[in-house]
Amino acid sequence: MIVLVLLLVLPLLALGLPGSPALMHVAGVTLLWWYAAVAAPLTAAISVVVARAVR
Amino acid sequence: MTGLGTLAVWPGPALVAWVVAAVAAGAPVAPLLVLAVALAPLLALLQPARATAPRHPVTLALVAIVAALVLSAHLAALADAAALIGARRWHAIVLAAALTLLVTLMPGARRWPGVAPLGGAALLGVLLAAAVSTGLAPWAAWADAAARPALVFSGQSPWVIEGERFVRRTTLAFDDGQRVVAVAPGTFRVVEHDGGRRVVRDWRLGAGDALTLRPGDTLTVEAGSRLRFEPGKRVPGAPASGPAWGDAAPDASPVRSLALLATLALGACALVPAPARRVIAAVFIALGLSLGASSWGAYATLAAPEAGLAGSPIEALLSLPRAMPATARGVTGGALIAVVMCGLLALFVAAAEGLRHALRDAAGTRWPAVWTAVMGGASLVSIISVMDPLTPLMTGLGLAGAALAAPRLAAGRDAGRRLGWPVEVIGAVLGAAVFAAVAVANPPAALESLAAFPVLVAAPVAFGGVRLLRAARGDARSRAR
Repeated sequence: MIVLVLLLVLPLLALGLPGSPALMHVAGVTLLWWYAAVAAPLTAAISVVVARAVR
Repeated sequence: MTGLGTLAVWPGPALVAWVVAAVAAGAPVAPLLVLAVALAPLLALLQPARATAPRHPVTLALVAIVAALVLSAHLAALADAAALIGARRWHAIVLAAALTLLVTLMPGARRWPGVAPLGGAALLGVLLAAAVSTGLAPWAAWADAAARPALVFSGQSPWVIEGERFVRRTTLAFDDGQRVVAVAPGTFRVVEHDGGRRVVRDWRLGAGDALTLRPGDTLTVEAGSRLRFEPGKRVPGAPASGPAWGDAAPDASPVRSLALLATLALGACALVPAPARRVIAAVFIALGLSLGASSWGAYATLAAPEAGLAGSPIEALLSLPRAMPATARGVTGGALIAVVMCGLLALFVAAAEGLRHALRDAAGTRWPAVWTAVMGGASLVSIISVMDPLTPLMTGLGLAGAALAAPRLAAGRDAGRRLGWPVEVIGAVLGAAVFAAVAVANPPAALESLAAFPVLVAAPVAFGGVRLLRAARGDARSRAR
């Protein structure tokens, strides 16, 4: 649950960093969008599966 | 109930349309919204499995209000979809409500867990058709849309050819000069900024009459009006360019961003109970929601950048099949629109079934009467008022978070009773009262975010209240020993 909460608030913290690294482009898409649409949901899904398996 | 069944309460038509519309419009809040909508139900799956919730009239009333609000939001979205394809709003509302009551009240209702995947598959099919039609993978479509120098009306847009209808009262801001033509008679308000002076003019136009707008003007259009725009001109209200759309970065205050995350996360915790099995299937639904909505938004922006013009988030969902050319296999835009409508209806039935389960837990054996009353009330409200689906959706999720999730999370397994009431119920009353008070309050400008998202105040109060009551009970027990 802590991992998921961290995944949720991470972009808020990243956007405050100098140089706006969240707005860098990879394959035409910003890192922020890769994170929000792909990386974070995938990480969250794996975390949920692992957490359920441990329980 | 299975993981699939419990998560089906989450991706209802209003929520799906909201996410797609935010992505298509390049809304600053879009990345956070996609993230929160995908992660919130997964967060709910991990919440501690609670003991039997105290069955109480207050809990029942709150669950009924939340269910009515969320149902109203979904029905408003379906009604908007009907209006956009030229049908009557109330037809869609009555059809969806009657079908859902039939499905949920029939004795074999448990045989319907497949309705949510059916809705998802219908929308996924249209998304695949868009990919085949454009020949672009989602990320390539995104890059193409983000490379455009400006988001303009194409010559094939229905807004240019025959003109489209506005679903609700909308104000359009024009960044460049444009001549718009009224397709049907109506009254239009233009606000001009003439040398720093604000000039308001009301125009009554007949069919075919034109109105010339200058850069900086705003045009207020009443619900039901139809307008035609010029090809090659920038879409009013759209981001300045493709890169501005693709770089959508949250520029809202951190408080508003946090409030959005809290509303969605706590709302999901209230509506999605921790399921016993099929977690992996549920995980795939959440992933499909984030990837699907983002991809749909990218294709919609590429094919029809004017997707948010009509004043309803559902337009972004319908704009994609409308804008696609007929494929070699003869699948027309009309057929794909029908598939989208069926998919939305299936998602509505699945979401309603999830809400019915929550209501059944709170109402006990009286649930059929209460459920029918809730569905009837939500339908009536949606028919009488032409509201933005987001208003009841956010109110419902916020209230659910403050009055149902926060006290439940604070109470744990056995919080006991105080003043003759279960502590969780006292927390629910506290959360609901604070939520209502903050929602109707007229705060100073610095605290506007709190009034817009009352859950930010109400949830901590409810959580803290229950914790205090639990601690006081623990002290009393210690003294008794």
